[in-house]
Amino acid sequence: MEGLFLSHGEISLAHHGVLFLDELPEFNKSVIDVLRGPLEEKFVTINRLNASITYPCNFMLVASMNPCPCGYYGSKIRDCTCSEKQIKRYLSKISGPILDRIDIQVEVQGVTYQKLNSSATKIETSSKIRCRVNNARKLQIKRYKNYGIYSNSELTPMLIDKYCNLSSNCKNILQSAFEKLGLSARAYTRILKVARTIADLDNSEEIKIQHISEAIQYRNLDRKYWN
Amino acid sequence: MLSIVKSISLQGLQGYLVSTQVDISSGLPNFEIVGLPDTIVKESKERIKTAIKNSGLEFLSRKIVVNLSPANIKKEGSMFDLPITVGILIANGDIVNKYLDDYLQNTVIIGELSLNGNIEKINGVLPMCIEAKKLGIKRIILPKSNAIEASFISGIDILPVSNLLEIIEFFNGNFIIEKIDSSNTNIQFSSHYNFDFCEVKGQESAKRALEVAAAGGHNCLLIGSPGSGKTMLAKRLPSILPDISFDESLEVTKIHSICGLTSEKNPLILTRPFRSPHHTITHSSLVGGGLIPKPRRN
Repeated sequence: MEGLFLSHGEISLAHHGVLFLDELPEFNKSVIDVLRGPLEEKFVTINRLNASITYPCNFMLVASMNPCPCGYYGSKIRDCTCSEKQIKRYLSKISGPILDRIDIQVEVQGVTYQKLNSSATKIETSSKIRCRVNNARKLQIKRYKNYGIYSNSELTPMLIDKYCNLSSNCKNILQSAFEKLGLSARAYTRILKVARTIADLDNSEEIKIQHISEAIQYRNLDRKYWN
Repeated sequence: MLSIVKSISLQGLQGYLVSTQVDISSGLPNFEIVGLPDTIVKESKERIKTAIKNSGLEFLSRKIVVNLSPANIKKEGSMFDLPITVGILIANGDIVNKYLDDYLQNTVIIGELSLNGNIEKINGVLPMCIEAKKLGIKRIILPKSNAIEASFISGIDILPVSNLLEIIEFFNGNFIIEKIDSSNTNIQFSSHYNFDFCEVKGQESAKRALEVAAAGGHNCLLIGSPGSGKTMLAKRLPSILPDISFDESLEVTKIHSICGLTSEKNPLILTRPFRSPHHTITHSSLVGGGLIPKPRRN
């Protein structure tokens, strides 16, 4: 009768919050791939001999990684000393399906000496950023209050059709990106969701060209590294 | 004599009522708990015996059978200590009240006993109260140290008790347990963070990306060379996450409550969780799970 004490894991403890996986390629590959289902479904069902228990896990995945084993592939500061094979093997630890579920991919470049040496007074504080974030989130909560969801990341296909309408100009941009970057259907809907968020941050009801292009720009790193 | 006391337990986040049935009859002295108890529930025998003795009552050497119904679900946790004890005291005639049956019909009792008769904090009180309310229960008797956590639920009477004598006197009509005011909406959202984005110099585009991610709850991947500030940026993410709403907070607290991660004084979790497991984490600690299922032994 063992195996009945089912308890939730880190992803459920991160419900409505953040799951941060530092140095993503260091994780066991199969452990990362376990996240595929929960990242889409927002809940996880654990089945054991005599019980099946569902826990909610609506979390935001934030991961960080180096581009290669030595860490300097694509860097402007130092040359990468890894062989092509090494880089490929390193990057292949992150599977395509996981990458496809990550809406925002961003490159963090090293900081120049001038920037490091500048005084910190001009830099925006967290509270200012949080103020904008809160306003954008309030718009979302208000918009989706009848649907039982809290944010753009939870939009269902039906709601995307309703709230992520694009003008013909935007559609053209998205179409050319879709073909050029070889995006998946999931990536397409995810770009629309991110564009909706960027428009919300701008306090704009309509998704404009700059919003959709910023959203597309967050998806092109996998072409750079994983191709 | 037979007595039946209601209690509640959880399967995941779902609650189910457990009827704690106690029968005391003459026969060889024996104390047996049936209904698939796990080790914690089985050990409650010793806690109960000693707590009753140390509360100045006599624990009779007779044949005591306790059944936790539904008998086909494995019962785990220490919250059955109190309902079993109350059941024994009723069956034993230590608690006498002619309205008792009606009262217990709509009452759920949960709590762990310590050897001196004190009633100790248990895990999962918030989801238990929510589920008890859903199941049509009118009042819940629980440990005093869980009272604040339970007070966020309205529509069900919360009766906190601190020791065994209190609950005996209460049922005998000699003591009044003060109901907790369940309109506890005085919530202070904290906005204090140890890290701030103004400590990160440069990295405007990464900051912007994190701002978008935080605003819409989007997944985000930071790629960069060592020392470029990826971890530094991610550590500061909680400081720009949107405020958690009361409903979201209840959902988060429910999960944290089950594994005892809530504090006694400020049980409600008012900041968004930020979990950063080490990369040696296993499948089951990441998504949840339990002991590896083994073939049935008996």
